[in-house]
Amino acid sequence: MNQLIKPEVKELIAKRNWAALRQITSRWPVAEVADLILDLPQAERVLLFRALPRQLAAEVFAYFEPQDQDALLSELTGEETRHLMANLAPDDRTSLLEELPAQVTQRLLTFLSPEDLKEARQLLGYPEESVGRLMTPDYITIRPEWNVAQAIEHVRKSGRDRETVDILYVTDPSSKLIGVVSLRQLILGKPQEIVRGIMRSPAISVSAFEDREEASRIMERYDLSVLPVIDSEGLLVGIVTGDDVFEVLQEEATEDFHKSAAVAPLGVGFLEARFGKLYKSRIGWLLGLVLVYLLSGTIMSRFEETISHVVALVFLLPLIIDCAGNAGSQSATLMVRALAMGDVETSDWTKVLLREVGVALALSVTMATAVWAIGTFQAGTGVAVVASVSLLIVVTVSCLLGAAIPFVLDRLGWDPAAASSPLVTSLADIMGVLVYFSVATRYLGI
Amino acid sequence: MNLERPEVKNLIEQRDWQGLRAVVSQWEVPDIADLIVEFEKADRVILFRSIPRHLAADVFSELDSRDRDELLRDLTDEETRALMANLRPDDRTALLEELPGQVTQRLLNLLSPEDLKEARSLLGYPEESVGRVMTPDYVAIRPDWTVATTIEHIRKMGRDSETINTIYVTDKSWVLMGSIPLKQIILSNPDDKISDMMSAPAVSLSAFADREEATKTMEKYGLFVLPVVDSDGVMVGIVTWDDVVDIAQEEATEDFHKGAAIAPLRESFRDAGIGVLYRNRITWLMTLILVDLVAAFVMAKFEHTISQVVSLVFFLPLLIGCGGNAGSQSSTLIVRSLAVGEVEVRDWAKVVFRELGIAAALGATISLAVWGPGVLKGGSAVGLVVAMSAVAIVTISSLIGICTPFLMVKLKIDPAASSSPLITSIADILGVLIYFTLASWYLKL
Repeated sequence: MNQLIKPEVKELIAKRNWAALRQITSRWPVAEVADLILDLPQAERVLLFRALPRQLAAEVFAYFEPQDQDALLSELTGEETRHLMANLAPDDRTSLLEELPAQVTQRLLTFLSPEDLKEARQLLGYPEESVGRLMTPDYITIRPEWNVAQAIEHVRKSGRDRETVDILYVTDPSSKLIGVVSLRQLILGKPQEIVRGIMRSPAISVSAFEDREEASRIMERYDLSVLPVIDSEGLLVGIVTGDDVFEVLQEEATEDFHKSAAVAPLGVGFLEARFGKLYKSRIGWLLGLVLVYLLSGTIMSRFEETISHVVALVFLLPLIIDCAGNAGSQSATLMVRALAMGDVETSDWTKVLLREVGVALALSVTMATAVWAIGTFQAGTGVAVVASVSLLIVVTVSCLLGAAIPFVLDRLGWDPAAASSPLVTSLADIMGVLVYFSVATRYLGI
Repeated sequence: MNLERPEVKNLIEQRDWQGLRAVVSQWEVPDIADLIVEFEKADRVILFRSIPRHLAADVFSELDSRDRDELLRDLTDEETRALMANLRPDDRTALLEELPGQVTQRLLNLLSPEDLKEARSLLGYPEESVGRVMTPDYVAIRPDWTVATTIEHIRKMGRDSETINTIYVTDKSWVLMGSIPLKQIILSNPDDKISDMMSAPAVSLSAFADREEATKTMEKYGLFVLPVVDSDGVMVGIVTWDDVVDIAQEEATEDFHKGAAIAPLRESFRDAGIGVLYRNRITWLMTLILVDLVAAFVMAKFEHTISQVVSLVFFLPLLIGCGGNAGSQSSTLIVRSLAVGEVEVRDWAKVVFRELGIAAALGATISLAVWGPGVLKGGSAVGLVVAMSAVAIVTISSLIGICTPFLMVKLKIDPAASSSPLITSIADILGVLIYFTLASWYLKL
């Protein structure tokens, strides 16, 4: 859709016809308008942004990455900022305030109306990564003693500026959450039916102080797109919506991906991450693993005599340690992901490790046979036998290591995702060197 | 809820199915499913039979594929027929596609003619396509209707559809024209016209698109339901939020596995047998042996160098290991960014350029770190060779890690196939080549 209209829009921009642009874009989805603005050079962005209707402008703004928000804010006048802040949805406002540098946050807080300020402060009062930070106070509550007609009338009166009205929350006078009713139930119900009779009670809810991952787990489990948030006394304080939670889910998966490759969590998008940030999150593990490799070098120097007798042994060294590393990474990755998804619990360890023994043996026998055949051909029978026997041992052990380390980390209360491919590969290397040259020394009688 | 468990156990022991049904019908579906799985196989079917019919189908969908399979075997044809009729169409598709062929045939035979037609057409879409996860149960209205007619229509049709939070507007031949949130309909006057208030065109998906598109589109537009159209723009179904979350998780798991050179598992890891695990892992392992053999060939060329200065070899695992690790980091960062749509292929120049700087910085740091131990163990000349090789190997491996996923996208291969083991193995060949070339040259061997 965007592609078709773009030349026309380009022309309007070139002609600086902001009124016509406002006309066209006001019917577009927010994401398209945001992309259009981001396509413009920095100086022109603010011009188009100003042309947008206020409500749309706020939604478009919420869609931007923090750095683009920051750049745009610096161009806006105080009055414009005030309007923008007033029109942002409360949860978007919180995440904006959370992401900007502290001075800018302070400046922005001064632009808020006393009411909005109270709301923002309240949301910001919850610990980072908690449900409270994600929630929005935009919801509709109804009373259990109302009938369906009254409830619909209430929705019609107060629903206009609410983020979501698909689910209504039933509370008692002290605003304690006692149940939920979907808008669908109201529409399909009879006008005289009493809310108490059709509501779902008790409502599934989450505490504002819980980790936000808990909210995503609950929503995934119960297939909910909105989840009510309560405080310690069971009072309804907000709702979290699926789109925010979905972002959390994706972020967590990304974090686990990065950890699996020994990259410390970036905390920002990869594209936005600056040079220094990327360097810092990568160098830690790389240097740590250098120490591990130095150990394998030390071990190898013990076998100097063996090596100088049969130099051909060394040719197959990368193969041996790689095979072990690869098989070990496979085991570790399978286990880490299964633990993260709740597919496997720590209590399943005996069953899973026992099965891994079977898989590991099957894999190592296959690989050892292949290497034996190739090795005989390439480096002579002696080296081939040494290589395949070593492979048998090394692959089996590193599979078991790879499968066991995530369990152990979990037991110790650490994140099992730290069992990254590079870590397992490095450990497999040490073992590979040790086993390979020990077998060689013994078998070749050096 | 946990408090009620012993009570439930009592009810089952006393075979009080009526009492059990009363307790369980107050529960949430996933909790009932968990309860069923906790019981012995023989008791499961009894418990399942006591669940009220309208809940039974949802509870069934919540079970793992293996548990479903077992339960199906214990149900009579009549019970299965009722169950199949009550399943949501998207859940039914999922069930039919995972079961073994004969069971699928038996189930298809038990479907009503209408459901059978629907199931056949849903199963006709390619695997992993949007068509396989959509449901045809939605509410559609015409643009010339008023709000009052619409509400009347929703009250009539809404009971059977999966969601009515968004209503779709189609013309007479069911071509999708626009959409309206239910909220807006409620807030409008009874005689407002639909065509004046709908947002058009509606964001939609093709039934043949990859199901990952559904995730990306929903995320991009912040929607909880997406309409699905065929090639003529005719509306054929909707995809709902809960399915998309599941898809996103499954796709992430697939990418994790690919990242470690494992072919995607079709079942849960816990339930996978040794044979399946073996098959999914061995292919890449064997392929990578071939890649590693190249490293062995390269090294054989340097036999002379190695036999002259054996201590060179002590640093080999270190150098190729560092290269592999840095390359895996780069590759994983890009693969994930591409998967979530954060980086597009056209961003490659910017990304690669930035990587150049980072790779050089990482290489320099590691080089400094290994120089000391190199001098200590191998003398100043070997130390220098090790340090120089480290810069070159880490930098080049990082660049390979960054470029391989982009290259795969260009070749229309899933970039997730650029796994850590693959990058590590390629880095090994390069590492051996660079290290021994530098050594032969600098040490004049």
